[in-house]
Order: sequence, then structure tokens, then C-alpha cells
Amino acid sequence: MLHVIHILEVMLPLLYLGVFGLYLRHFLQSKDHGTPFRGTHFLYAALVLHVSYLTLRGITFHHFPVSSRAEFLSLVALCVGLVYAFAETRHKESDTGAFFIAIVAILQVMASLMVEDSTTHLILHENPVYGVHVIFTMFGFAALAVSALYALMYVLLSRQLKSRELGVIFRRLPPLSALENMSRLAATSGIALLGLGLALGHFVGLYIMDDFNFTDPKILITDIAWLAYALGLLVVKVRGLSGLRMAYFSLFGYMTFILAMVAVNTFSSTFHSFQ
Amino acid sequence: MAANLELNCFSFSHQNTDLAQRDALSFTKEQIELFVAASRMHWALEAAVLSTCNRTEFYLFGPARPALWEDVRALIATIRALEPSAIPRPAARSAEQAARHIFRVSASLESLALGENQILSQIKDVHEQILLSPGKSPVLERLFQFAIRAGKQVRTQTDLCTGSLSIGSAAVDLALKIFENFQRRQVLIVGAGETAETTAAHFTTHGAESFVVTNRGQERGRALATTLRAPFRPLDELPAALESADVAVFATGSTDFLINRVQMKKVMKARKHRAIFVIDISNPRNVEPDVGKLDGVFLYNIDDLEHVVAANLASRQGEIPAAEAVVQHMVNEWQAWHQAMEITPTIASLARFFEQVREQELSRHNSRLTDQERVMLEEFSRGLIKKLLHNPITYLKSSVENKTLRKEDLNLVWALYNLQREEQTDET
Repeated sequence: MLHVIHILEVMLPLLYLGVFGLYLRHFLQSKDHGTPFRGTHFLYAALVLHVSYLTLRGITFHHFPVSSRAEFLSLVALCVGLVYAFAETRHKESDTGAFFIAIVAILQVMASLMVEDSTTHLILHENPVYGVHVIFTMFGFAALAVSALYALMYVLLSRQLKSRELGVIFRRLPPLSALENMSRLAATSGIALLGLGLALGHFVGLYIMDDFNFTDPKILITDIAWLAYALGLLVVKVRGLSGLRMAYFSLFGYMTFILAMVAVNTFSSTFHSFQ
Repeated sequence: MAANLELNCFSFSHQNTDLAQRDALSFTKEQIELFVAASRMHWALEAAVLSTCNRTEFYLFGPARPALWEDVRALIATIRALEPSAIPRPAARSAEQAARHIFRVSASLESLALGENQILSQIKDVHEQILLSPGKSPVLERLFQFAIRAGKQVRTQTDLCTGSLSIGSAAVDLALKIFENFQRRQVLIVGAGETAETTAAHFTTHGAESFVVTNRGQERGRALATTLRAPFRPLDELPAALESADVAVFATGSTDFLINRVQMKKVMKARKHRAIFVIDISNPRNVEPDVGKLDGVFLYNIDDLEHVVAANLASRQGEIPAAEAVVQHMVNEWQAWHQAMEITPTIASLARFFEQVREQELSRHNSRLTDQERVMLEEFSRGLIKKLLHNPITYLKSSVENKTLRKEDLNLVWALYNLQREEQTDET
């Protein structure tokens, strides 16, 4: 089993780099609508291997694979990859893949370089509910990040259209409406997944951790940040706001969330820290 | 001797003829069929004709003829009922130059509008016609296959065919960069003149179905609305019409702004800042320029669109070297295939000659041999011939791979062994 894990640790970054190459070529090339893009199949294959890798690691080392920085980075890479693959499949739009797969490849290269076969971990990391909490939370964050990146592309393309600088970005990026739809889809699913993840986190804290306290500032900050984003999204939906307003909301919402997380980790040296 | 087979192309295009001459020389499908059949019957040539609004070109492959153009001209004259002297001198190309030409045509490097896409489908039509015509045209069939590949590769590997070259299609391209497609999108046409109608037609071609027409003159406005199967709204309802539109085309003769920043701001508030593409192709302008500064409003006037077209043309011209490289690559591939095809009959004749000699010699001694000796001699003679043929065949094949094949080498082989070309059975 360990042998397979080691092989996958080498294979995954190489595979993601290869997929990134395919997506980059696809982005830079002229589009012939009759020619199917094969990169998506390679991405699916890489993601299946990635899920297998983390599952094998979990089984071999008897813990949920978030006990080290390497495992955390690898899980983030997988979540970003899966969320992007979902958005691409849903909207049949592969032109933006290079941007997302670049992030996935970098994260997995770092993870593979840092990874060790250590078996020391917290007892908490063996708890399945904790595991599900982590999965939902990570997917939520990944989806919000994907939404923010699409929003950034929207702003860039919109500015190019306004300023009549119809360069490479204009030619290669998908239309504004597609970017907006993908950003909206990622934001909505992200906030829902993150909400579930946080709720499970509270459950884990309440029933498993001895020193858990709802009034803990770091928990309050996280909850308030989530609530603010969710309310913002609701306002956007109810008022039917679209275009640049939706894009700015997604961008600043995500930045606010990241700042909140930085604050949370600054306050605490043990909570959500990695060995 | 190896027959001297040649590829020839006679081309009439916008580069060497005027419109009236091209009209006179354009061929219908039936006329092409006549030309192909006659070329095969009289001269044993494979033939194909590419006839579009900008060019009529004749491709012929087969045994070299000393006065091919004169024969072709007479045939064209007969089919098109013209005086031979009325047919201008074509641009004549042969061998590699002819192949390069059709690849360039397919890549739209020879087109009047550089990078246009229609030519590729026209070449596909010719290829289909070759496949469907009675009798085989293996070389021209392959030539047009290569041409289609060249056209496709230029379109996927370069930007030669991207970006529109007319105001109307540039406007549509920009709109598609905002809305992806025109399903459930509403196009507001402000004006009812020729420009408005032409621009609306561009949108219709690209799938737009929902139009609204507004115009100062109700009669003309309603007429255009009827053509587009769209509702008509009087001009004073313009702000309300803008609230629901996704694309607004302004093409009126008005000398005043029909919409200003203050009015548009209200419109944008009402439509919750949903993106709108405003195309002002009026002269003087109908939309106050400051309207374009509002969030969600993408305002392009005639100058902007002309710049887009000019930039697209410049961008296409910048892609010419890349497209030429694709064509060159295809020419190399074509030559390799063509040379390989040239040595095939030689190798086949050589093998046939040796086999005949072997069979003759065996039959001469047949009566004096036991069954066992006959089997042994069969095996021995086959092995011997295989070994004797190995070096010349390897030499011919490697000279094709190394591009060092000379016609004289082939002729020498044919002369040395006094090889005879096998009679071709033709279906026609």
C-alpha cells in the first residue's frame, strides 16, 4: 500500500502539470468548435487518482488526511479541482481551466514535496464526523475561491470591453454571461457547503472537544463571516443584482472571509493548526 | 519508362480576372460533372473543379500533355458556350506549386477577405463531389483531403480566421462576448433604415429571435417590425424599451442624442444593472458618449467598431506567417505521399517482372522434377527473388523518405528490366 502511495505522490503533480499544459494550450489556441477538447478527460482521471491517493493515505495511516500541511494542501488542491470540474461540466466551458488547474498543480507539487509518512496525528483526526466537517468546509472554501476567480475574470473582461482593448484576454476568455453564471453557481454551492461544514464543526466541538465554547472569538468571527456572505448572497439574489455588482460581491466576500480566517488562526495556536 | 504523371491547376480568381469574366467562367454542379467526365474520357485525367463567387479553378492529374491548357480551354468553351478566345489566360501552376495553391486557398490565404471561413466548406464540397463522381480519382481525392486538413489546421492553430471584418458582424461578435448566445436575449432596433435592417439581419443569422423595433416614423418602423416578426414601440417609449433589451442598435438619421446619461442611469437602475450592449452606428451619434461610463453599459459607436474591424484585419495579417508555416508543413506531407505513390507502380512492376521470370524458369524444368524437388525449388526461387529485390526496393523507399528520389532513377529501373505498365481498367 505504501508503495502505491509513494508512486501516486510522484504521479499526481506530474499529471496535474500535464493537464495544466493541455488547458494552457487550449486557452492559447484558436477554437475550432468541431474539435473536442480531450484535457477534461485527463482532468477527470487525475481527480480520480487524487481521491484514491487521499483515501489510501487515510486507510494506511489510520486518520483523516488533514494531519499535516502536505495533506491539507493536497486536500485543498483536490477540492479546487473537483469544484472546477463540476463548473466546467455544468457549463460546458473549458477555456478558463488553465487558471484553476495551475492552482491545483502548484498546491499538489508543494504537497508532494512536503509529504512524509508520519503516523503521528491527533485522535480527533480519526473521528468520521470531523472528517465530514473538514470535507464540507474545504469544498465550501474551494467553491468560494473558484467563484472569486471567475468574478475576477469577469471584471477583467468587462474592463477590456469598456476600454476597447480587445487583446488576448478578450479573445480567449468565455463570454461575460458564462463567467457570471459560473461565479454565481460556485458562490451559491460554496456558501451552502461551508454552512454545512461549520455546522458539523460546531457539532464536533460540542460533543467531542472538551474545551469548546461558542463564545470563543475565533468561532464567532468565522460564523459572522459566513453569515455576512450568506446574507449578501441572498440580497444579491432577491434584488436581482448581476454583472459587475455580483462580481465585486464575490471578490470582496471571499477576501473578507480569508481575512476572517487569518484572524482566527492568529488568535489561536491550536485551533485548526497543523503539525 | 515510368509514365510522366503531372498535377496541374488553372486558376481564374479575383487576382487575374474581373467580375464579368468570373461570372462567365463559373461552373454549375452539372457543368463540373461534364468537365470531369470529359477530362477522364478524352485525356485519361483525374479532374476537379472549384467554382465559387471569387474563383473558378481546374485541377487535373494524369499523364503529361504538351498543350494541356489549349485542350482545357476548348473544353471550357464548349461547356460554357464561350468563344475560346474570350477565355482569359489563367494562372497556371503544376506539381508542388499546384498543391501549395489549393492548400493556400483552403487556408483562405488566397481569399478576397483574408481568413474567411466559407472557402473551407466549398473545398469540402469539391472533395465530396470527387468521391461521388464515377471513376476513381485517388490523387485528387487525396489532394483535397490534404487541403481540408490544411484549412482546418490553419483555423485551429492560428488566429487567421478570428475577428470579424464587417461592422455588422463585429457588432455581433462583441455582443456574443457579452451574452454567449442570443437565446432569450432581446435585440432592440432603434431606426428602420437600411443600416438598421442589415444589422438586424446579422443578429438573425447568429440566432437572435426576439426583436423590438422603435422608430420615429411609424410606417417604416412597423414595416421593419413585421419583417422581423417583432413588436413596434414608438420612439418616446425608448427608455422603457431599453429596460428589457439586452442589445440596443441605434441606426437613425436623428441629429440629436436619443438617450443621455441621466436617462440611461434610470434605465440601468430599473434593469438592476444587468449588462446591456449599446451599438450606436448612427452618424451623427444617437447615444450620449457618457452613457458608456455607466456600469453594465457597453457602448460602441461606428468609430469603435471600425477600429475593431481594422484591428481584426491587422491581427489576421499578423497571422499570415503562421498560416504559411502550416501550408508548408502540408506541402511537405503531400510531397512525401505523392513520391511514395510514384514509386508504388515501379515496385509493383518490378515484383511482377521477377515473379514472371521465376514462374517461366520453373515451368521450363517442371517435367523433370519430382514433387519434393519442385517444392524445394519453389521455396528457393521465392527466397532468391525476395533477396534480389530487397536492395532496389529499400533504395526507392528510403529515397522517398529522404526526399532524394529522382525521376531518372525510376526511369532507369523501368528501362533496365523493360518493365511494362499494367493496363488500367477504368469504370468510365
